[in-house]
Amino acid sequence: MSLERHILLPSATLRQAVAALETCSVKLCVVVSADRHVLRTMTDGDVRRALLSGRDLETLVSELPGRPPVTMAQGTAATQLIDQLNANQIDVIVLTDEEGRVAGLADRTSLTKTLFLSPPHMGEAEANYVQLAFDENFLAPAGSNLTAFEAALCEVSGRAHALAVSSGTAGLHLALRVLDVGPGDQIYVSDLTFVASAQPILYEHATPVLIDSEPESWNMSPQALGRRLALDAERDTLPKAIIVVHLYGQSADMAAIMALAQKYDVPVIEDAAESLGATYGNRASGAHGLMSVYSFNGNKIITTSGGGALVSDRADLIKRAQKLATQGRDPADHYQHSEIAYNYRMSNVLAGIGRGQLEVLDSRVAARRAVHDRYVEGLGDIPGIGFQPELPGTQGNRWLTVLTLDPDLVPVHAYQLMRSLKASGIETRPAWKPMQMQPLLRDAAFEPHGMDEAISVSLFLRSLCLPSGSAMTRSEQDGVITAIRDVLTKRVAA
Amino acid sequence: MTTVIGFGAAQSRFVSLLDDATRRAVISGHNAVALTGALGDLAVLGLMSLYRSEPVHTYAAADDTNARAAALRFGALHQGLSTKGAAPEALLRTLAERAGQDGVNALTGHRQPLLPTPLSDPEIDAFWRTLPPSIDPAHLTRTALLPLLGQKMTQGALVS
Repeated sequence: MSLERHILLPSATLRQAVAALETCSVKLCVVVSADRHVLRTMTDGDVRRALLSGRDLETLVSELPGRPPVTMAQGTAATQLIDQLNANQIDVIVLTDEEGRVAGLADRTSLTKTLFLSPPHMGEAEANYVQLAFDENFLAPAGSNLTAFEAALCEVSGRAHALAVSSGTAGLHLALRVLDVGPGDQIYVSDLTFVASAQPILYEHATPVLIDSEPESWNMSPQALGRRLALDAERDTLPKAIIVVHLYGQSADMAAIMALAQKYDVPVIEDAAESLGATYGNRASGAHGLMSVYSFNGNKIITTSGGGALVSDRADLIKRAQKLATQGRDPADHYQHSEIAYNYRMSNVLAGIGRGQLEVLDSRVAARRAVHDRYVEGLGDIPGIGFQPELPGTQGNRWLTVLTLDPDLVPVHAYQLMRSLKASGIETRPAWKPMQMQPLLRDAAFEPHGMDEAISVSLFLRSLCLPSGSAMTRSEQDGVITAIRDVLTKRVAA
Repeated sequence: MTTVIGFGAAQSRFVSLLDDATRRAVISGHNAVALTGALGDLAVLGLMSLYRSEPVHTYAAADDTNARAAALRFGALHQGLSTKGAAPEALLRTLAERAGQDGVNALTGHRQPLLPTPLSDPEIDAFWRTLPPSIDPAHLTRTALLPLLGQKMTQGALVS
């Protein structure tokens, strides 16, 4: 909303007022003095009443009768603004600065709209590809969209083979099945992650070992990993696989992790659910381990509504995964099945959405990185505020921008900030709760970053994920930054 | 039970166990904390606030600045009561009585019969027994709660 389009001087005519109202999305103009003090407001209703009372379009707005306008100070909490809108039975309030000069408008629609954490951002191509599936009448897990989507995924990930499936979790599950993981096998997994990274381990009755974060990127600590591998090598209980998560779109230290995995000959599965489009050196996130998994859930950087993919350079692994993803059907014309398997394939309709979304991946990454940079610029000067770091030589996709609050410098806990922002229509979320704190995994072994230092719980207790959608406007983000500054610097808590 | 392999793992384990005990207390209907100056009280308040969309009710002596800061930090509905010079047990009794009058179910960070505390959860008791002698429980408690409460609050509170 451009404020200047709403501004009229007392010398403006009714005709000019009508023209201004015609171009404004919020149907209210503010009549101001030469030094921009608010004199009155003009709405469509004021114009109608003036015309009905016999005035013509050349009448000056300063000649019209009117009541003093409802104004409130810029920076007033959204809840208070909404209260005033309701009390005065109006839909727009003029915001003023400390000198009483016009500074902005607060309208009901904007105030009551929720700004979501990471909503889908559709382009124009997606609907065309979905239509193509309808036109070809290929709606099942087969068709040109699926083939093209998997080919595009190979290109983006730098992998030779891709299998589109129903979710990232399904992709991880297939990866474990392909490696014949079963009861008694240990699987290492990042501690600070969404539970989907660990659930497939439990599906197969294997034993998760939770590896702590390191402070440089918040991802799996190579220090902890190396210590645990050495211990398990000594006990002859090396894991069957290591699941490395690239948290919030930031790559883990893959050089160090791969070196350890190779030393102990343990396969790595990259959980790149959050990091499509990120890079590590000159390679894509998800191009390092034996297999990697992406997610296209509705909140991800690109989406197929729900979906995922398993990628690898090994044709035999993807072929095996494909069989497991299609009920394990044996090669026979009749329906013959010899093992437990799943219905995990992605439909051709959803692959159409993914095909269109992949075409704009680069711009989505650029937009999310710009969102992150604007948060750093807008909030980084507040003492005690920090952000998830990025490893040198990597470029995250900044799927979510994550804020840290130093409890000694910021008087409000992250959850309280979350609740205050919610009252202003801004959705934020706590950082993932570490797996070791989940009742589901309460008895799992945990390997800390340092013998005297654990990281992931500490990150959870002081972090907050901010709205990071690639379609978020600059003005919406300015609103988030202002709201956060209000809570943290003025102690305006809900 | 996880084998505790060092101070870092022990810190995380302690927070996880206290978090889970507090979660269960919230599920069973507790929505308030009596703040008597003990670190355990502040920790229970902090963790309880993670599970509730509504503000936690807090009760403390009127001159307890640490309690006020904690209430602000976690968005609690705070009541400071005039309890000048009251001994800890008498203070807790006063706070518990006020909570009772308000019809809320209060917890505390103290081990005593007046109010329940997540810190007396059997798993936490068992955890303390697994610690090697080289780990000082009071030091572990303070450092483990730093990310939740901060240095100023943890140093200003008593470890019971």
